[in-house]
Amino acid sequence: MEVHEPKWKKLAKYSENSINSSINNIDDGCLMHIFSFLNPIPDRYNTALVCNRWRFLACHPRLWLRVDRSIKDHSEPGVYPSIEAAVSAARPGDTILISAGGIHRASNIQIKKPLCLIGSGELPDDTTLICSRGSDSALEFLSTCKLANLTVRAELGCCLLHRSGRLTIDGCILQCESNPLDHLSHAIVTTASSSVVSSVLKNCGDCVSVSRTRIEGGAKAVLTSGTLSLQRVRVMCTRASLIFWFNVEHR
Amino acid sequence: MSSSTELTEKKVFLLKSLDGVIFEVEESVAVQLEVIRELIEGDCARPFISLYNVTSEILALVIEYCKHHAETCSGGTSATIADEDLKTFDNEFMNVDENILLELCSAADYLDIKSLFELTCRTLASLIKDRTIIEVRKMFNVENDFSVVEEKAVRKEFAWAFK
Repeated sequence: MEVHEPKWKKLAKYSENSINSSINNIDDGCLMHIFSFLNPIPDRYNTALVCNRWRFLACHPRLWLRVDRSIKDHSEPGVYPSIEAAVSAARPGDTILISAGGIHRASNIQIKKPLCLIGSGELPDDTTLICSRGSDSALEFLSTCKLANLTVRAELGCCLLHRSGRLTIDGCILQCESNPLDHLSHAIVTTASSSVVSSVLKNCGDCVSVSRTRIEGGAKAVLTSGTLSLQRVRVMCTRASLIFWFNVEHR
Repeated sequence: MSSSTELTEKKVFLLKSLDGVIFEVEESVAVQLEVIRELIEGDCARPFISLYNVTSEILALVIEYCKHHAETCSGGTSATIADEDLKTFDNEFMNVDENILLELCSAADYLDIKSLFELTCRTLASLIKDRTIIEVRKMFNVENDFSVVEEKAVRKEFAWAFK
Protein backbone atom coordinates (compact mmCIF):
# COMPACT_ATOMS: atom_id res chain seq x y z
CA MET A 1 0.00 0.00 0.00
CA GLU A 2 1.34 3.36 -0.96
CA VAL A 3 1.87 5.81 1.83
CA HIS A 4 1.18 8.87 -0.22
CA GLU A 5 -1.36 8.48 -2.95
CA PRO A 6 -1.33 11.32 -5.46
CA LYS A 7 -4.37 13.50 -5.44
CA TRP A 8 -5.32 12.71 -9.02
CA LYS A 9 -5.59 9.03 -8.19
CA LYS A 10 -8.25 9.70 -5.64
CA LEU A 11 -9.99 11.96 -8.10
CA ALA A 12 -9.84 9.31 -10.78
CA LYS A 13 -11.22 6.67 -8.46
CA TYR A 14 -14.01 8.92 -7.48
CA SER A 15 -14.84 9.76 -11.08
CA GLU A 16 -14.83 6.15 -12.19
CA ASN A 17 -18.23 5.64 -10.67
CA SER A 18 -19.78 8.88 -11.75
CA ILE A 19 -18.64 9.08 -15.35
CA ASN A 20 -20.33 6.99 -17.92
CA SER A 21 -18.86 8.06 -21.18
CA SER A 22 -19.16 6.54 -24.58
CA ILE A 23 -16.61 6.76 -27.33
CA ASN A 24 -19.37 7.93 -29.62
CA ASN A 25 -19.73 11.09 -27.54
CA ILE A 26 -16.31 12.25 -28.50
CA ASP A 27 -16.06 14.20 -31.67
CA ASP A 28 -14.84 13.04 -35.05
CA GLY A 29 -11.58 14.94 -34.88
CA CYS A 30 -10.56 13.26 -31.62
CA LEU A 31 -11.54 9.84 -32.82
CA MET A 32 -9.68 10.29 -36.06
CA HIS A 33 -6.63 11.42 -34.15
CA ILE A 34 -6.83 8.28 -32.06
CA PHE A 35 -7.05 6.18 -35.22
CA SER A 36 -4.07 7.94 -36.68
CA PHE A 37 -1.91 6.35 -33.96
CA LEU A 38 -2.95 2.88 -35.05
CA ASN A 39 -0.97 0.84 -37.49
CA PRO A 40 -3.10 0.79 -40.60
CA ILE A 41 -2.63 -2.96 -40.94
CA PRO A 42 -4.26 -4.62 -39.17
CA ASP A 43 -5.47 -2.30 -36.42
CA ARG A 44 -6.89 0.58 -38.40
CA TYR A 45 -8.63 -1.80 -40.75
CA ASN A 46 -9.96 -3.57 -37.72
CA THR A 47 -11.53 -0.37 -36.44
CA ALA A 48 -13.21 0.09 -39.80
CA LEU A 49 -15.18 -3.05 -39.09
CA VAL A 50 -16.54 -1.88 -35.75
CA CYS A 51 -19.41 0.28 -36.96
CA ASN A 52 -20.39 2.67 -39.73
CA ARG A 53 -19.05 5.79 -38.07
CA TRP A 54 -15.70 4.20 -37.31
CA ARG A 55 -15.50 2.90 -40.83
CA PHE A 56 -16.07 6.36 -42.24
CA LEU A 57 -13.43 7.87 -39.97
CA ALA A 58 -10.88 5.09 -40.29
CA CYS A 59 -11.08 5.37 -44.07
CA HIS A 60 -11.24 9.13 -44.11
CA PRO A 61 -9.06 10.80 -46.74
CA ARG A 62 -7.28 12.73 -44.02
CA LEU A 63 -5.68 9.52 -42.88
CA TRP A 64 -4.53 8.84 -46.41
CA LEU A 65 -1.71 10.17 -48.45
CA ARG A 66 -2.44 11.49 -51.88
CA VAL A 67 -0.24 11.76 -54.92
CA ASP A 68 -1.21 14.65 -57.11
CA ARG A 69 1.17 15.81 -59.81
CA SER A 70 -0.74 18.95 -60.50
CA ILE A 71 -0.38 20.19 -56.97
CA LYS A 72 1.04 23.68 -56.70
CA ASP A 73 0.75 24.22 -53.02
CA HIS A 74 3.19 21.82 -51.41
CA SER A 75 2.28 22.89 -47.92
CA GLU A 76 -0.97 20.94 -47.92
CA PRO A 77 -0.46 18.01 -45.57
CA GLY A 78 -0.72 14.54 -46.97
CA VAL A 79 -0.40 15.55 -50.61
CA TYR A 80 2.75 14.68 -52.51
CA PRO A 81 3.91 15.51 -56.01
CA SER A 82 5.32 12.07 -56.74
CA ILE A 83 4.81 8.47 -55.77
CA GLU A 84 8.35 8.27 -54.40
CA ALA A 85 7.71 11.16 -52.05
CA ALA A 86 4.45 9.66 -50.82
CA VAL A 87 6.00 6.23 -50.33
CA SER A 88 8.89 7.60 -48.33
CA ALA A 89 6.59 9.74 -46.20
CA ALA A 90 4.04 6.99 -45.60
CA ARG A 91 3.86 5.09 -42.38
CA PRO A 92 3.51 1.34 -42.49
CA GLY A 93 -0.03 0.48 -43.42
CA ASP A 94 -0.93 3.81 -44.94
CA THR A 95 -3.06 4.02 -48.00
CA ILE A 96 -1.77 6.11 -50.86
CA LEU A 97 -4.36 7.43 -53.21
CA ILE A 98 -2.94 8.21 -56.64
CA SER A 99 -4.76 10.92 -58.54
CA ALA A 100 -6.45 10.04 -61.78
CA GLY A 101 -5.51 11.61 -65.08
CA GLY A 102 -2.04 12.24 -66.36
CA ILE A 103 0.86 9.89 -66.13
CA HIS A 104 2.91 9.13 -63.09
CA ARG A 105 6.50 8.13 -63.55
CA ALA A 106 7.53 5.16 -61.47
CA SER A 107 11.01 3.76 -61.84
CA ASN A 108 12.44 1.28 -59.40
CA ILE A 109 10.38 2.52 -56.49
CA GLN A 110 11.20 0.25 -53.60
CA ILE A 111 8.42 -0.33 -51.11
CA LYS A 112 9.63 -1.75 -47.85
CA LYS A 113 6.60 -1.17 -45.69
CA PRO A 114 3.06 -2.45 -45.89
CA LEU A 115 1.19 0.02 -48.06
CA CYS A 116 -1.90 0.13 -50.15
CA LEU A 117 -1.70 1.98 -53.46
CA ILE A 118 -5.01 2.84 -55.01
CA GLY A 119 -5.87 4.68 -58.19
CA SER A 120 -8.50 7.32 -57.56
CA GLY A 121 -10.15 7.11 -60.97
CA GLU A 122 -13.31 5.24 -61.69
CA LEU A 123 -11.47 2.68 -63.78
CA PRO A 124 -7.91 1.40 -63.56
CA ASP A 125 -7.30 3.06 -66.95
CA ASP A 126 -7.68 6.46 -65.34
CA THR A 127 -4.47 6.25 -63.34
CA THR A 128 -1.34 5.21 -65.15
CA LEU A 129 2.10 4.52 -63.76
CA ILE A 130 4.81 4.34 -66.38
CA CYS A 131 8.13 2.71 -65.90
CA SER A 132 10.49 4.15 -68.44
CA ARG A 133 13.17 2.33 -70.33
CA GLY A 134 16.28 1.57 -68.36
CA SER A 135 14.54 0.69 -65.10
CA ASP A 136 14.06 -2.84 -63.89
CA SER A 137 10.54 -2.31 -62.66
CA ALA A 138 7.98 0.32 -61.84
CA LEU A 139 7.47 -0.87 -58.30
CA GLU A 140 9.52 -3.25 -56.24
CA PHE A 141 7.86 -4.88 -53.24
CA LEU A 142 9.69 -6.05 -50.16
CA SER A 143 6.67 -6.01 -47.92
CA THR A 144 3.02 -6.90 -47.82
CA CYS A 145 1.24 -4.48 -50.12
CA LYS A 146 -1.86 -4.01 -52.11
CA LEU A 147 -2.35 -2.41 -55.49
CA ALA A 148 -5.80 -1.60 -56.70
CA ASN A 149 -7.43 0.25 -59.54
CA LEU A 150 -4.17 1.16 -61.27
CA THR A 151 -2.56 0.76 -64.66
CA VAL A 152 1.12 -0.03 -64.60
CA ARG A 153 2.93 0.14 -67.92
CA ALA A 154 6.50 -0.95 -68.49
CA GLU A 155 8.39 0.03 -71.60
CA LEU A 156 10.99 -2.57 -70.92
CA GLY A 157 11.61 -4.69 -67.87
CA CYS A 158 8.72 -5.64 -65.65
CA CYS A 159 5.76 -3.83 -64.19
CA LEU A 160 5.98 -5.25 -60.71
CA LEU A 161 8.92 -6.88 -59.02
CA HIS A 162 8.02 -8.94 -56.00
CA ARG A 163 10.83 -9.74 -53.59
CA SER A 164 9.02 -10.68 -50.42
CA GLY A 165 5.80 -10.19 -48.49
CA ARG A 166 2.26 -10.78 -49.59
CA LEU A 167 1.42 -8.79 -52.65
CA THR A 168 -2.22 -8.36 -53.58
CA ILE A 169 -3.18 -6.99 -56.96
CA ASP A 170 -6.82 -6.29 -57.45
CA GLY A 171 -8.57 -4.74 -60.43
CA CYS A 172 -5.44 -3.47 -62.13
CA ILE A 173 -4.03 -3.38 -65.64
CA LEU A 174 -0.47 -4.49 -66.21
CA GLN A 175 0.95 -3.69 -69.61
CA CYS A 176 4.27 -4.49 -71.18
CA GLU A 177 4.79 -2.41 -74.27
CA SER A 178 5.56 -4.31 -77.37
CA ASN A 179 9.05 -3.77 -78.70
CA PRO A 180 11.73 -5.93 -80.30
CA LEU A 181 12.94 -7.01 -76.90
CA ASP A 182 9.58 -7.76 -75.39
CA HIS A 183 10.56 -11.36 -74.79
CA LEU A 184 12.53 -9.94 -71.89
CA SER A 185 9.66 -8.15 -70.25
CA HIS A 186 7.14 -9.62 -67.85
CA ALA A 187 4.15 -8.18 -66.09
CA ILE A 188 5.12 -9.60 -62.72
CA VAL A 189 8.45 -11.00 -61.65
CA THR A 190 8.75 -12.67 -58.31
CA THR A 191 12.06 -13.57 -56.77
CA ALA A 192 10.68 -14.56 -53.39
CA SER A 193 11.97 -17.81 -52.03
CA SER A 194 11.60 -19.58 -48.76
CA SER A 195 15.14 -18.90 -47.69
CA VAL A 196 16.05 -18.97 -44.02
CA VAL A 197 16.26 -15.21 -43.78
CA SER A 198 12.77 -14.50 -45.01
CA SER A 199 11.13 -17.19 -42.92
CA VAL A 200 12.75 -15.83 -39.79
CA LEU A 201 11.72 -12.28 -40.52
CA LYS A 202 8.18 -13.09 -41.47
CA ASN A 203 6.02 -15.83 -40.18
CA CYS A 204 3.55 -15.49 -42.99
CA GLY A 205 4.44 -16.82 -46.38
CA ASP A 206 5.40 -14.71 -49.32
CA CYS A 207 2.87 -14.80 -52.09
CA VAL A 208 1.30 -12.84 -54.90
CA SER A 209 -2.40 -12.95 -55.44
CA VAL A 210 -3.91 -11.41 -58.50
CA SER A 211 -7.57 -10.84 -59.14
CA ARG A 212 -9.58 -9.12 -61.87
CA THR A 213 -6.42 -7.93 -63.52
CA ARG A 214 -5.86 -7.37 -67.22
CA ILE A 215 -2.40 -8.37 -68.32
CA GLU A 216 -1.18 -7.33 -71.76
CA GLY A 217 2.04 -7.91 -73.65
CA GLY A 218 5.29 -9.27 -72.36
CA ALA A 219 6.69 -12.75 -72.57
CA LYS A 220 4.86 -14.08 -69.53
CA ALA A 221 2.28 -12.73 -67.18
CA VAL A 222 4.38 -13.87 -64.29
CA LEU A 223 7.96 -15.06 -64.05
CA THR A 224 9.06 -16.79 -60.90
CA SER A 225 12.73 -17.08 -60.18
CA GLY A 226 12.27 -18.03 -56.55
CA THR A 227 10.52 -21.04 -55.08
CA LEU A 228 6.97 -19.85 -55.56
CA SER A 229 4.76 -21.43 -58.15
CA LEU A 230 1.73 -20.40 -60.07
CA GLN A 231 -1.56 -21.79 -58.79
CA ARG A 232 -5.30 -21.53 -59.21
CA VAL A 233 -5.28 -19.70 -62.49
CA ARG A 234 -8.51 -18.44 -63.97
CA VAL A 235 -8.66 -16.40 -67.12
CA MET A 236 -11.56 -14.61 -68.63
CA CYS A 237 -11.24 -13.86 -72.32
CA THR A 238 -12.97 -10.79 -73.58
CA ARG A 239 -12.76 -9.59 -77.15
CA ALA A 240 -9.94 -7.17 -76.46
CA SER A 241 -8.16 -8.52 -73.47
CA LEU A 242 -7.51 -11.26 -70.96
CA ILE A 243 -8.50 -10.84 -67.35
CA PHE A 244 -6.60 -12.93 -64.85
CA TRP A 245 -7.09 -14.39 -61.43
CA PHE A 246 -4.21 -16.36 -60.01
CA ASN A 247 -2.00 -16.96 -57.02
CA VAL A 248 1.71 -17.40 -56.83
CA GLU A 249 2.60 -19.13 -53.63
CA HIS A 250 4.48 -21.93 -51.98
CA ARG A 251 3.38 -25.29 -53.05
CA MET B 1 10.37 26.26 -4.90
CA SER B 2 12.89 28.99 -5.68
CA SER B 3 12.92 32.22 -3.72
CA SER B 4 12.24 34.46 -6.69
CA THR B 5 8.78 32.98 -7.20
CA GLU B 6 7.96 33.46 -3.56
CA LEU B 7 8.79 37.12 -3.69
CA THR B 8 6.57 37.99 -6.62
CA GLU B 9 2.95 37.58 -5.92
CA LYS B 10 1.48 34.61 -7.71
CA LYS B 11 -1.28 35.29 -10.17
CA VAL B 12 -4.24 33.01 -9.75
CA PHE B 13 -7.16 32.41 -12.05
CA LEU B 14 -10.57 30.98 -11.39
CA LEU B 15 -11.94 28.33 -13.71
CA LYS B 16 -15.58 27.40 -13.59
CA SER B 17 -16.62 23.94 -14.75
CA LEU B 18 -19.82 22.95 -16.52
CA ASP B 19 -21.46 21.98 -13.24
CA GLY B 20 -20.50 25.24 -11.59
CA VAL B 21 -17.54 24.20 -9.47
CA ILE B 22 -14.85 26.86 -9.31
CA PHE B 23 -11.19 25.90 -9.33
CA GLU B 24 -8.36 28.20 -8.39
CA VAL B 25 -5.26 27.67 -10.50
CA GLU B 26 -1.91 29.36 -10.74
CA GLU B 27 -0.80 31.08 -13.90
CA SER B 28 1.69 28.31 -14.70
CA VAL B 29 -1.22 25.89 -14.88
CA ALA B 30 -3.65 28.21 -16.63
CA VAL B 31 -1.30 29.01 -19.51
CA GLN B 32 -1.20 25.33 -20.45
CA LEU B 33 -4.85 25.59 -21.39
CA GLU B 34 -4.35 27.16 -24.79
CA VAL B 35 -8.04 27.86 -25.14
CA ILE B 36 -7.94 30.45 -22.37
CA ARG B 37 -4.46 31.74 -23.04
CA GLU B 38 -5.68 34.75 -24.95
CA LEU B 39 -8.13 35.60 -22.20
CA ILE B 40 -5.31 35.52 -19.69
CA GLU B 41 -2.92 37.51 -21.79
CA GLY B 42 -5.59 40.04 -22.66
CA ASP B 43 -6.43 40.29 -18.96
CA CYS B 44 -10.06 39.37 -19.63
CA ALA B 45 -10.07 36.50 -17.18
CA ARG B 46 -12.04 38.21 -14.41
CA PRO B 47 -13.87 37.26 -12.33
CA PHE B 48 -13.66 33.71 -13.56
CA ILE B 49 -13.43 31.76 -16.81
CA SER B 50 -16.33 29.49 -17.64
CA LEU B 51 -15.45 26.22 -19.30
CA TYR B 52 -18.72 24.94 -20.61
CA ASN B 53 -17.62 21.59 -21.94
CA VAL B 54 -15.79 20.15 -18.96
CA THR B 55 -17.27 18.63 -15.84
CA SER B 56 -15.70 19.27 -12.45
CA GLU B 57 -14.41 15.68 -12.08
CA ILE B 58 -12.50 15.87 -15.31
CA LEU B 59 -11.36 19.45 -14.84
CA ALA B 60 -9.89 18.47 -11.47
CA LEU B 61 -7.88 15.73 -13.15
CA VAL B 62 -6.76 18.01 -15.96
CA ILE B 63 -5.60 20.59 -13.43
CA GLU B 64 -3.64 17.95 -11.53
CA TYR B 65 -1.99 16.96 -14.78
CA CYS B 66 -1.06 20.53 -15.66
CA LYS B 67 0.12 21.22 -12.13
CA HIS B 68 2.46 18.28 -12.17
CA HIS B 69 3.82 19.28 -15.56
CA ALA B 70 4.30 22.89 -14.50
CA GLU B 71 6.03 21.89 -11.26
CA THR B 72 8.31 19.39 -12.91
CA CYS B 73 9.33 21.80 -15.64
CA SER B 74 10.14 24.63 -13.24
CA GLY B 75 11.50 22.43 -10.48
CA GLY B 76 15.12 23.21 -11.29
CA THR B 77 16.06 19.60 -11.96
CA SER B 78 17.97 18.80 -15.10
CA ALA B 79 16.00 18.31 -18.26
CA THR B 80 16.65 14.59 -18.52
CA ILE B 81 15.48 13.88 -14.98
CA ALA B 82 12.40 16.03 -15.50
CA ASP B 83 11.68 14.15 -18.71
CA GLU B 84 11.95 10.81 -16.97
CA ASP B 85 9.74 12.01 -14.18
CA LEU B 86 7.08 13.27 -16.57
CA LYS B 87 7.18 10.02 -18.46
CA THR B 88 6.52 7.95 -15.35
CA PHE B 89 3.86 10.39 -14.26
CA ASP B 90 2.16 10.26 -17.67
CA ASN B 91 2.19 6.48 -17.63
CA GLU B 92 0.67 6.42 -14.18
CA PHE B 93 -1.80 9.10 -15.06
CA MET B 94 -3.05 7.15 -18.04
CA ASN B 95 -3.61 4.11 -15.91
CA VAL B 96 -7.30 4.89 -15.42
CA ASP B 97 -10.50 3.48 -16.69
CA GLU B 98 -11.31 4.02 -20.37
CA ASN B 99 -14.35 6.19 -19.69
CA ILE B 100 -12.12 8.69 -17.93
CA LEU B 101 -9.62 8.48 -20.75
CA LEU B 102 -12.32 9.36 -23.25
CA GLU B 103 -13.48 12.29 -21.18
CA LEU B 104 -9.90 13.46 -20.70
CA CYS B 105 -9.35 13.21 -24.43
CA SER B 106 -12.39 15.36 -25.21
CA ALA B 107 -11.45 17.81 -22.51
CA ALA B 108 -7.86 18.08 -23.67
CA ASP B 109 -9.09 18.72 -27.18
CA TYR B 110 -11.51 21.39 -26.02
CA LEU B 111 -9.05 23.04 -23.65
CA ASP B 112 -6.36 22.70 -26.30
CA ILE B 113 -3.71 21.04 -24.15
CA LYS B 114 -1.57 19.44 -26.83
CA SER B 115 0.52 17.16 -24.66
CA LEU B 116 -2.47 15.72 -22.82
CA PHE B 117 -4.42 15.32 -26.06
CA GLU B 118 -1.60 13.40 -27.71
CA LEU B 119 -1.12 11.33 -24.58
CA THR B 120 -4.77 10.32 -24.26
CA CYS B 121 -5.12 9.62 -27.97
CA ARG B 122 -2.04 7.44 -27.96
CA THR B 123 -3.27 5.60 -24.89
CA LEU B 124 -6.70 5.03 -26.37
CA ALA B 125 -5.11 3.82 -29.59
CA SER B 126 -3.05 1.34 -27.61
CA LEU B 127 -6.26 0.05 -26.05
CA ILE B 128 -7.76 -0.55 -29.49
CA LYS B 129 -4.59 -2.13 -30.77
CA ASP B 130 -4.34 -5.90 -30.79
CA ARG B 131 -7.96 -6.33 -29.82
CA THR B 132 -10.56 -8.08 -31.89
CA ILE B 133 -13.47 -6.14 -33.32
CA ILE B 134 -15.84 -7.68 -30.81
CA GLU B 135 -13.59 -6.79 -27.88
CA VAL B 136 -13.30 -3.21 -29.10
CA ARG B 137 -17.07 -2.92 -29.44
CA LYS B 138 -17.56 -4.25 -25.96
CA MET B 139 -14.89 -2.12 -24.38
CA PHE B 140 -16.14 1.16 -25.79
CA ASN B 141 -19.75 0.20 -25.78
CA VAL B 142 -20.18 0.68 -29.51
CA GLU B 143 -23.15 -0.82 -31.22
CA ASN B 144 -22.59 -2.76 -34.40
CA ASP B 145 -24.78 -0.91 -36.87
CA PHE B 146 -23.72 -2.81 -39.97
CA SER B 147 -26.33 -4.92 -41.62
CA VAL B 148 -25.27 -8.46 -42.43
CA VAL B 149 -24.79 -7.56 -46.08
CA GLU B 150 -22.82 -4.42 -45.27
CA GLU B 151 -20.56 -6.21 -42.84
CA LYS B 152 -19.83 -8.86 -45.41
CA ALA B 153 -18.98 -6.21 -47.99
CA VAL B 154 -16.71 -4.31 -45.62
CA ARG B 155 -14.97 -7.48 -44.55
CA LYS B 156 -14.39 -8.41 -48.14
CA GLU B 157 -13.02 -4.98 -48.90
CA PHE B 158 -10.46 -5.24 -46.13
CA ALA B 159 -9.74 -8.94 -46.38
CA TRP B 160 -6.36 -8.35 -47.98
CA ALA B 161 -5.01 -6.76 -44.82
CA PHE B 162 -5.80 -9.74 -42.66
CA LYS B 163 -4.75 -12.72 -44.71
